[in-house]
Amino acid sequence: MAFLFKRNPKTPAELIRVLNDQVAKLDGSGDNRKIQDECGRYLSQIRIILYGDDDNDPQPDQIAQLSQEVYSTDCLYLLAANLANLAFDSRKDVVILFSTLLRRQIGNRSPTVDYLLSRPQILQVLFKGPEIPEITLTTGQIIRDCIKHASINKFLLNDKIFWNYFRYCSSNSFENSTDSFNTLNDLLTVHKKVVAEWLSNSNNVDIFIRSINGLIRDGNYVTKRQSIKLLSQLILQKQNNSLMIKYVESSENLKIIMNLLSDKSRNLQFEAFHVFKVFVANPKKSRPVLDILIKNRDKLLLFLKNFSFDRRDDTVFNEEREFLIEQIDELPRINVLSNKSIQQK
Amino acid sequence: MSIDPADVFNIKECIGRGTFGEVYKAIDKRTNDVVALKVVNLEESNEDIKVLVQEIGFLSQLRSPYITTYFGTYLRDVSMWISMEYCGGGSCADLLRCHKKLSEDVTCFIIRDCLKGLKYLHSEMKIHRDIKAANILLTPTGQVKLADFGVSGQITATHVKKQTFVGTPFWMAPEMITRKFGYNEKVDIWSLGITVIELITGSPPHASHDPLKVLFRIPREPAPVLIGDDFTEAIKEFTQCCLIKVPSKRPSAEWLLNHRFIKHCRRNVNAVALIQQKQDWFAKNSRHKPCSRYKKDPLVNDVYNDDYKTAFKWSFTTKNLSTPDIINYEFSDEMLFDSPQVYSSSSIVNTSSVGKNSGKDSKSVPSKNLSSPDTNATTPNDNVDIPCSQKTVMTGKEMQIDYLRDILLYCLKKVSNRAKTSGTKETVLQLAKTVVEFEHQQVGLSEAIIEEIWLRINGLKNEGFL
Repeated sequence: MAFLFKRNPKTPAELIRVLNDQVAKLDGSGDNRKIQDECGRYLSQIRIILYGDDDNDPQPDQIAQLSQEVYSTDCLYLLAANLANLAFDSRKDVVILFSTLLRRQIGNRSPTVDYLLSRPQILQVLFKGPEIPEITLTTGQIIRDCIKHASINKFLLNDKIFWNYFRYCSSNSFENSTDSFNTLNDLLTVHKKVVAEWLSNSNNVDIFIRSINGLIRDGNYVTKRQSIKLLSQLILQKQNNSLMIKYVESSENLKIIMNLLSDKSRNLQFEAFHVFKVFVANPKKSRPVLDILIKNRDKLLLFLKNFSFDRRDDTVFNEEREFLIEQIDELPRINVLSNKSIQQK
Repeated sequence: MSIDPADVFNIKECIGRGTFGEVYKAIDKRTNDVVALKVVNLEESNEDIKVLVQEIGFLSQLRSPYITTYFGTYLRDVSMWISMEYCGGGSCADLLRCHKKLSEDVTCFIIRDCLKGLKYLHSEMKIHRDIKAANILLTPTGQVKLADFGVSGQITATHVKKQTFVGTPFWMAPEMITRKFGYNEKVDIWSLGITVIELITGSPPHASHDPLKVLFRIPREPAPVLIGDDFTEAIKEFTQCCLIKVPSKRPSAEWLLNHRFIKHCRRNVNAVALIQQKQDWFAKNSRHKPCSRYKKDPLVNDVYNDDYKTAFKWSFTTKNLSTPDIINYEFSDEMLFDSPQVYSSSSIVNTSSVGKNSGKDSKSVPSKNLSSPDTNATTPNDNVDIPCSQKTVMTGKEMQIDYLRDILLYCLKKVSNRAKTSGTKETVLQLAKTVVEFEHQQVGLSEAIIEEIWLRINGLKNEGFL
């Protein structure tokens, strides 16, 4: 690549400094277009340092210099806060900068992770990305790169902004709502230990149940399908016992799941089945849950007997289905006629 | 509210078909642009839809004049409607069908723009995986664009019927078939080399062979070469570069853009004339029209196309469990006879009972209806529940038993469940159907029969027989 070796105008450290200067000017009233171009040029040069190109492999010492300068300046904050003001292609270069820096390791430390945790404003500004539709997918990518590190995952789960994601998932734009769901999904599935610990706080469990129920009940088809899957994944995770117990003791939750069980979509039915089975298998059913199951005993039996014919070769599923039929069959039945004949006598 | 794509797009004819759905020519009413609309039925894929959805996100982040532009995705019912740039000039495969083969100048012109498209995709860490003439599209003004990469390619691959689990065998790179060490973006360069041969000779190597057998031949045999006086040294060398069997030695798209075959590309290639001739030819030979037989309305696929209905209506009123809730006890005839996939037109969706009981969360939100609002959705089920005190003094007649459903069909269902063979089951179902039919002819028949049975049983009981 020409600029590195022929013209060689700027060292990596200089590059970061001039970039910072330009980015800082972006929100000003100046000629944004010109500044955008300027930023774009520097960012694509940075990308080549990080990724190399056809003729050159990336040089570790250059990357080290670049990182050093990034950590000692406001570079990442400036970029994160001004993403919307950068050009479309430049935003992708910012993603590359973050993901490459996040992968860096010195011994068993990740300097970028330490840096980001010491400067929480950067993570928070990115975490709130879905508030600005144009940059949702960019910040989503960066945040998901961050979530690969357990300590950042933990930090974000405990930030208030986290709860906004249930709202972000209901955005009108298909790309944005599904991207936000991806982030939500990663936050709750990538580091199982972190999530289990987070769910040991009963306050978190309560808000989580209320929020995910909202998505399952009111979401569009894709939201429903993804959120019910996420819920069943979490509930069936051994470490998340407290969530499971809490979820299956409420008859309100059972109603939501049963409504989905009888949805027209076979896929939704099938995903709901995996939550429903926990209600039935629970040896200590709460009274309201038991009442609903008893009340619908015959309908459930009929339903389950005919359920998902196309998955009959799935033995695990079939065993579960038969187990449920057994369990429900053993529930007390309400006998209409015998009741009445008693009254008549 | 999210946008219903059926309001936005004016759908014209079907122009293609893939594994998951159809591709339509459509007009975006907001802009009057002609677009290619890919309708993907998500209900048909049992797999995790996460991957499909992620691909859409990726697609939306691609912008280059050398690939078909992504406009947006909308959800309707259980389908994704992906709006993409429509290329009115058809594909290079269409061009071949009319012109049989192309000149080196035209080939060079097409391949150069493909390389630019590939250079862009590869710089975005994206592998096309299915480069071939059929996926190289042309605009009426002669611009060249790569199409059908990623999700849009996977779901609309053109030769679905012929091919098996893999891409399109003739164009596949050897390492993609063997998969010993995985593969990278270099597979596109190989496919491009095969496409050069396709454009210049009219068909890819081995085209007359069984695609499945070709799968074994490609990794085993030496790479195909262009030979003979018909071709210039430049194009021979170019294909040779693309068709290097070892992927790491195969050059990149960027490198190939500087190859002399591409560098010496003539500027004034008249692709527009070729396209025009092709369009005229297609107009004359209308039976060759790509996929006119697939014409189908995308709205027909809707799962929720009329009203949002659930298969089963559960009873969530649990106040008076000691007394049977006969009125809520409902089996529609359809449910009796068939699997849960048949839906009674009378069943009422009941989402509000959920909200009603929950107190703090009492906003009654009608279930998200993707096609049309369901007025019944807010009828609370709980209203039909009768207070306990009233029930205990009621006699059977006042409780309004549906003799057909609550007794006859109920019992027949029980009998059918006891049946050991499917033949017996069938007989019982036949009987149930007959009963329904006769009840319709003679309303009250069921009641009379039940009454007589009831009296007879009571009589026998009194006489000590039972």
